[in-house]
Amino acid sequence: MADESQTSATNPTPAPTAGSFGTFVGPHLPVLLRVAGSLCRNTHDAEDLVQDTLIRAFKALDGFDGAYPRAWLLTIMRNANINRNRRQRPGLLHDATDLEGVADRRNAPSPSAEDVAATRAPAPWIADALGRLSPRHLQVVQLVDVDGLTYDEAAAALGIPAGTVMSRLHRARHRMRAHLSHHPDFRSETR
Amino acid sequence: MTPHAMLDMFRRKGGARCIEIGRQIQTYLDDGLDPASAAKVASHLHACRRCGLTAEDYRRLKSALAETSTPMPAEPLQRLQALAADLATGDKPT
Repeated sequence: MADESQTSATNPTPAPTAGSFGTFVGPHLPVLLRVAGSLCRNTHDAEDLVQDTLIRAFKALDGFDGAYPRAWLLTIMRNANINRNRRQRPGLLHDATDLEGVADRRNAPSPSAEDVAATRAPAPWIADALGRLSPRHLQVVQLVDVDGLTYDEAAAALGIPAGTVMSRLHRARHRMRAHLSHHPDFRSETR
Repeated sequence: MTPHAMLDMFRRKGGARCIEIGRQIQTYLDDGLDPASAAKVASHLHACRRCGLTAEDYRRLKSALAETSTPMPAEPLQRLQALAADLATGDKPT
């Protein structure tokens, strides 16, 4: 797992300036777009969300101290996504901070197992195991194990404590492993 | 054999250690343990076949999930990079 969040504490990134904004966000764009893809229904919405995130981040640059830049950007993305959802589906969001609640609603912009299977084309046995996860569990697996976020970064993206990310992730993997323990493809590759 | 006796036997065979390690395997594989704890888990996984196989399952699962990640298409990334550059130079309204 990437350890940006661990190294930032000892080697803080210098606070970016407006003029260095492009250089500052450039390395984070692939992750932002990937996470946006996990939060949105389609790639067009994902790109729009990242655009919104960049504009918000630029406006907020003066208040940013340079520490944990990816988590900072992911937090901005989460808030931008909440606002987008409120604009698009005002009746669905009762609490602006309840992105978890959004993920639990089947018609919310959280990736379904079918979406994941269709867009990532995983091995059938992985698609089968993913399809058995709840939306909450699927979301953390997507962010951490597929998109490569740290616990802290996934927490920033979802607006939940890192400990909650960890417990959901571990439970999700445990369930996937329990399901796959009887799967011939998984067993043949592991034993 | 009574449940108490079974528990005693389980502990004598190192089962308590396995339970403790089992709780840390996923965090260990995610590089989330401090060095001392990681060394203890690594040592146990090397010595205990059952826990070693459990760890191997999770490694395989994590690897398979990571492989489902596809490269981002170039065009959206280029557009976003251009937007960031435009913001930096003040070419776009904010």
